[in-house]
Amino acid sequence: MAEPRPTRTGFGRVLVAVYATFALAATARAAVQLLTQYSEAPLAYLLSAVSAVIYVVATGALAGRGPRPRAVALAAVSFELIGVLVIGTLSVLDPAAFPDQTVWSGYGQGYVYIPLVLPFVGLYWLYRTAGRVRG
Amino acid sequence: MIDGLANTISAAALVVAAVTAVLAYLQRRTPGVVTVAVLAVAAAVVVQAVIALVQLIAGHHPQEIATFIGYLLFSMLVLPATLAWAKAEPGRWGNGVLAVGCLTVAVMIVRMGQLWDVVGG
Repeated sequence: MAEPRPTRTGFGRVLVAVYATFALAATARAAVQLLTQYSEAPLAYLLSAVSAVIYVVATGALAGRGPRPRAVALAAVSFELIGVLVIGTLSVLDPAAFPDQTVWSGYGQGYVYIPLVLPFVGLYWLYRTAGRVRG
Repeated sequence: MIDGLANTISAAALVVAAVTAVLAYLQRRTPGVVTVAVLAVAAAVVVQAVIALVQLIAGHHPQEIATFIGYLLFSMLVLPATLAWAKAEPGRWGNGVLAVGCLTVAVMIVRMGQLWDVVGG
């Protein structure tokens, strides 16, 4: 298996569907927060917008074909993992800074912790489909 | 929103999600009747969105109206997009995609109901 396989087919098709769901949820949430209550917690809402961008980019890249989308997907999913861990920790340590839930608050507890599990699944899928001969 | 309609849509979406999850597990092709069921739920979602829109214009003000309208608009798009994305692989993984889409719609309708019942400013 020297050739990389597409990330968008097979299990990847379901993965892209889940990523698209979170792209939708995070984008809608960030849009509402930024448009209606930006001044209440600018940092938290900007981070919420960053999470939305990451999900949108990851969805598009995982649904794409070829080496460049794969590289973009790897970067986006890695950033997503760091994001959910950092924002999750910050929101637990300093709840006052996050008055409103973001997708990554409390490690994604508002979304039955799927945001915490998703980047691990994404990285596993990118690894599985990479097709490089290791040794 | 009409509670009875919203509850019926959520329940139907959950049933279709469960059926497609089982079909995915069994690695079966998506039967035509399941596609029709998804289309029926998609149509019902549009009907209930139009009803909610009319009620909003008539003066009902749910809490977090911006969030509610976001749910209202996106709830109509989820299942058509799901069907299009699932179509390319009508076996195990297409069924998996349908399960994800139906579950998403069920959750969105429940969230809309929660926002609707808390009347805000």
